[in-house]
Amino acid sequence: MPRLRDRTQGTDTSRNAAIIGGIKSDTAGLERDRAGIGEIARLGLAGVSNSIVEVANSTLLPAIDTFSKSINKSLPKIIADLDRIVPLASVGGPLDQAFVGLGKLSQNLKLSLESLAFKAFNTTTITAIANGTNVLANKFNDIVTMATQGAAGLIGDDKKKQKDLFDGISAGVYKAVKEYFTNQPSVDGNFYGGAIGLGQTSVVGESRPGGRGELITAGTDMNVVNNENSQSIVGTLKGVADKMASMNAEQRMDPDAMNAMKQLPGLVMQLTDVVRSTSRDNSDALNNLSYNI
Amino acid sequence: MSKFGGRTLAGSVSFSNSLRSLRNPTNGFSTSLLRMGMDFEQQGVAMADYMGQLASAGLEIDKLDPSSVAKGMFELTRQQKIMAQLNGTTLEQERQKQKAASQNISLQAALLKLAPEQRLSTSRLISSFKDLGGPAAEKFANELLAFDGSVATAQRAQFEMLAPTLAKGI
Repeated sequence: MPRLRDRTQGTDTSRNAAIIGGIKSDTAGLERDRAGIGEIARLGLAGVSNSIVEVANSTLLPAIDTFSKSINKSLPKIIADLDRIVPLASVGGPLDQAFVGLGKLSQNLKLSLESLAFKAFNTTTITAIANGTNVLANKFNDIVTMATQGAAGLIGDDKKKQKDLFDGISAGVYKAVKEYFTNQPSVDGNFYGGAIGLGQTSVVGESRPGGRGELITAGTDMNVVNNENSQSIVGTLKGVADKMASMNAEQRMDPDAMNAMKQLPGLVMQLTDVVRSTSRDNSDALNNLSYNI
Repeated sequence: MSKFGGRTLAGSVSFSNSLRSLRNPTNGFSTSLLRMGMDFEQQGVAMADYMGQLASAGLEIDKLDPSSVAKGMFELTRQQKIMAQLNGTTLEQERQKQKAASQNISLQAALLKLAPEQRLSTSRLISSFKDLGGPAAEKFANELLAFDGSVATAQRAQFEMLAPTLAKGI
């Protein structure tokens, strides 16, 4: 019988069950232990208090438990069960096989979806958004610089300089929006439910893009809400740029036009936030999808 | 994960290699764990935990054979499953006991005399003695391991007198 004191247990934890099994196999001995510990613990009821009574008190319940498991052969039963379950690669009932099959299917599906999502978000959409926002950011930097110059009196009442200023701003913003946000970059035409991307309009209750006849439902479909948000933000950005492009220099000094321009930095920040949350929501949606299948 | 640098590139590679080995269909470890009620996500968590314990025991994770890590993790989980069923607890509760053992100074001091490869399985074994005979049994096992039975303490004598069968078996 292997024991701790003999150091027969090595690196293999499978020997541990043998050691515990060896102890539990001596049912008669454990019964004697239990009785002896009970006798000492009983002294505590008579008011005796010393270190050995304390040890007996702390050992009695585990000893009772150990004996009851020994006499009922709990450990051999458990090991027999596990031995039956664990090497089940080729045996087991249909239910067992189905359970394992479903587990594997779910895992493979999760991995496939995560891989697909990873590929999807590694393509042109992210690049376009990053480039677009960079260009916009640069333009805003220009705006700040030029506005600072204007405030310092460099532009002043010079109509030509004012015109150049607003032409430059509107051209830059319009170029950035048109070039990077109007091509409707799509991440993957084969993505579940069809292509997804900033240019896609997805509305709850409508047919899923891709023409498969499935309805979009809130909370379960990827990108639905966020695509709407991003679509709305891009639309506003385009509207602002279009409005500025259509106006002459004087009109651009109009308070409405100025207000529209003020929205741009906030809109870009919102767009960035939408992209970030879209990525997170996709991950959640993928997980939910895999759990629900 | 931090114990073996699991959040670094090299640590992640070691971790993923071991996890891949666990999932290798030829050894059937992952499938068996699934049958024991541990899903794939829990298997990943348990593997990270196990590798952290190996690192704590003083092993260099990068130099370990991933297949032996996978086998060790499987065996340890199997033992935890046995103890969970025997104690009427869950696999997770048994894992928490293992974690608690890693904070037991007496146990860790006794284990230091063993080879790193032996520490984890011995730690698990000594923790099991607590379930068999309470804290006194665990302390008895600690002393036995630390001093090879050559030091006769009062606690040891008391336990041998109270529970001779348990003491003999340990």
